[in-house]
Amino acid sequence: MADLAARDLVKTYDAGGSVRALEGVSFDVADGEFVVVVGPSGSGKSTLLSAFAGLVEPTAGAALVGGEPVEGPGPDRAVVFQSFELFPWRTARENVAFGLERMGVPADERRERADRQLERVGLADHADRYPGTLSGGQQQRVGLARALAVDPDVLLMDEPFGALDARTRATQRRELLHIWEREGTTVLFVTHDIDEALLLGDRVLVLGGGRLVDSVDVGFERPRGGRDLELTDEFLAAKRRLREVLRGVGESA
Amino acid sequence: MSVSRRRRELSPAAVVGVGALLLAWEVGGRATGNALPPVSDVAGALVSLYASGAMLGPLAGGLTRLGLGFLAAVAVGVPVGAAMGASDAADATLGTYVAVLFVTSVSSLLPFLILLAGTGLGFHVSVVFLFAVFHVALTVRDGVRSVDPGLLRAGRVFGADGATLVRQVLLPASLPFLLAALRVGFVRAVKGVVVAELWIYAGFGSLLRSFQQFSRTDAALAVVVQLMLLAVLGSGLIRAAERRYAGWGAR
Repeated sequence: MADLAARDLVKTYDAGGSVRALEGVSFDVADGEFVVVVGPSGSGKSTLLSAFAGLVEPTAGAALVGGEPVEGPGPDRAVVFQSFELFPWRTARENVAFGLERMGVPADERRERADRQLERVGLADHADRYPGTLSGGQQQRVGLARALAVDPDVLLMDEPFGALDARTRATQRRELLHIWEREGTTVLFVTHDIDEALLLGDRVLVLGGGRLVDSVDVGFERPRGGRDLELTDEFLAAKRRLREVLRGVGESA
Repeated sequence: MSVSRRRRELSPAAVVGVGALLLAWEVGGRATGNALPPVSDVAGALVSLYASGAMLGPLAGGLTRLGLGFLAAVAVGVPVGAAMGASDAADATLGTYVAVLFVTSVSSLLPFLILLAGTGLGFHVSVVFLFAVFHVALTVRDGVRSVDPGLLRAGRVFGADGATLVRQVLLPASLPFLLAALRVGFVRAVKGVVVAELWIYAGFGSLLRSFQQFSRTDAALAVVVQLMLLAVLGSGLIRAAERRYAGWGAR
């Protein structure tokens, strides 16, 4: 397990005139906390996640994991991508085992661990299928299993349900909560969906124009498996508040 | 057995199309009093070319030249194309040469090559190489360029970098293009064999020239058919490998 921290994180891209994606963002995420980052497109939320994944090097400041500055990707952090990014030439099982292969886990243990993760996301029967033959929802489950297989301290999720239809999205949120409530992995979850943010997170960070605009504690009781939460007065009040904040940073939600 | 197999691989439309063409060829040939030799004459000529042994020498020589030139083109074209695909710097430097030579007619270089390499095996292999290498390089380049950067990110996140990233992500992701590059390169290489041999009256080239001299159009066309079969067979084999090893790419 590990805590996360952003310290005056700045990221400037200079592809044809410099664009400031992050303009000095600071926050802390406690060990085992589920923190959701929301913001309109171009707010820098994906860049923020990439900095923790080690895929993007900060221009200034630092992304800290367990107190150590991130330098490149590492097996303590796993990413679930919006467009799944499964390797199409590998079966579901081989996709899940990819990280374990790189870690030098022996073949029979790899297989066992991959199968266990596939079972966990309800795809035990699909281990030998190729991603091209799976539905979007199934592919993202494989993506989640691939991330969980390396037994990460931190799960970084970049709009993981954004490419799925509404029903599949709702199911997968519930399943993710189940898994997280048992694991207690630290999660940094990026989305532009306010409902999703409030249903999943302990805390919601609002990003706008590369700056941290607001941080909202979400006190709803856990476990939150049920559907009724979305209809409670507290939920709606929190949603109204978040909407207002987002409107302030240019989201037309 | 063999019939059912053929049926599976050729669509009915293709069979009808080829059949109609052959029929039209036959009828057309007979109607024009053999100005165009009918297909049955050409097939007969092909058989007798084999029976007399006249085809064997050119075929053996041609296959050797084809194999060596094609292998050289793959050995150079694939790494050059991969480098151009993976690195902007390599694309900018190598790309200029490849692009210029790609649009240059290789045939126009032949007199120069003869001066340089003579008319031996080195000449033939150079021509075949030049015919194929740029198509191989550019197809591989485009393949590597088209690899989803998200897959590379996923590879890095889950612990692949440097050579491992190339072997585990970049190569398998480009495999469909790599095989397509081999197929395009092979067909070009067959053309290279023929053009080189026509220039210096060797192998198939000398057969074609002598049949032309004696107005043996049926035998000349038999040689053409033989070359066509060679290209179709080679590219068919590579296509089968594409289906077998890169079938996921088509989905």
